[in-house]
Amino acid sequence: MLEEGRGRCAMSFLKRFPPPAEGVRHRQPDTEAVLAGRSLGAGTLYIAESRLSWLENSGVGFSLDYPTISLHAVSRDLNAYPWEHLYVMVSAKFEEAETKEAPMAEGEEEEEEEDSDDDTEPIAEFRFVPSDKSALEAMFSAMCDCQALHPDPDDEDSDNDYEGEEYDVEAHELQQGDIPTFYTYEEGLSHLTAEGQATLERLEGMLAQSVSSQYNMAGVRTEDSIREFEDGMEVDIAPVVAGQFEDAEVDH
Amino acid sequence: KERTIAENSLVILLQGLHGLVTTVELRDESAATGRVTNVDAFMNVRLTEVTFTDRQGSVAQLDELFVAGRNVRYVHIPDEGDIR
Repeated sequence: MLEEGRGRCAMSFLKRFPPPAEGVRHRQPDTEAVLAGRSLGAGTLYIAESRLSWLENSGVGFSLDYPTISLHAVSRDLNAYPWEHLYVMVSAKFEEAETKEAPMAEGEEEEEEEDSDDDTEPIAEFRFVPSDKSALEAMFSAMCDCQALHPDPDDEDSDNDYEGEEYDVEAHELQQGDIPTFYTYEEGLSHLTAEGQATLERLEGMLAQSVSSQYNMAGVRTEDSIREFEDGMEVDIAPVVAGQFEDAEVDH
Repeated sequence: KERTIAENSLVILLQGLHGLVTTVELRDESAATGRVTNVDAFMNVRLTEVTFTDRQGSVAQLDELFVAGRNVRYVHIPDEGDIR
């Protein structure tokens, strides 16, 4: 049955697998699947939390991982397509390529060899046409819910990255002086506790000595230049959270 | 957790667009114009009454459209949107 052409291209990505049993938010029997305008037959669509699966009545089908699904929609425009259906756009190639599940979408679409128009990422368009049109809303919603379960991991990090490299302006403006971030020399002095003050004096004393003996510790300049360029990153005079500036660019 | 993400990023701007007609441009250069029904913390956008133009320029009307946040390139903020 797999090999049979039936007038269509070899659908080698179709595989036999058991229908999903867990987390099935919606199950729609009597649903035709269409890929790029070619019908794959009639079967059942399973909208499960882990993936979207469609199984032809014969038992073969395919699955799509939500991260590869760019968008989905309900189409009732009969001019565009003669039946109301659930439209699903996937960022992966599905022709003869063996791919069962497309790899993670972000920048991973080197699945296809040639033929992609001006090296844009490949997309595949699926249409799921249920015999019961009234189910489209539920199918759509179930997919929305499941997509929300698969947020883009990279994206999240970049959005919420508060790893300030140098100066946390916000924190400073909010007078969060408790969290030692970065102080100019003058400012820093007033923030020092008595203990900090003592430490500062001791360290400065040490520096004065080492300078006079022409000993150059890593990155330490003369005492004078330290006064001018008080820089929490290099000399631990001001209280600095350890390792906070590890990645920072040194030049200010 | 979603709330933290929303409050700490510009997504909160988009959530002010509920009910407004907006154009969402996707990374693959297709675009969807419709009325915003929902934007979540991951920038997944749900639109209704949508005119969708695919990257080849073909236009289709869609009743409802969901775009995964990772595929959004731009969201146009309409003039009447209050993003304060």
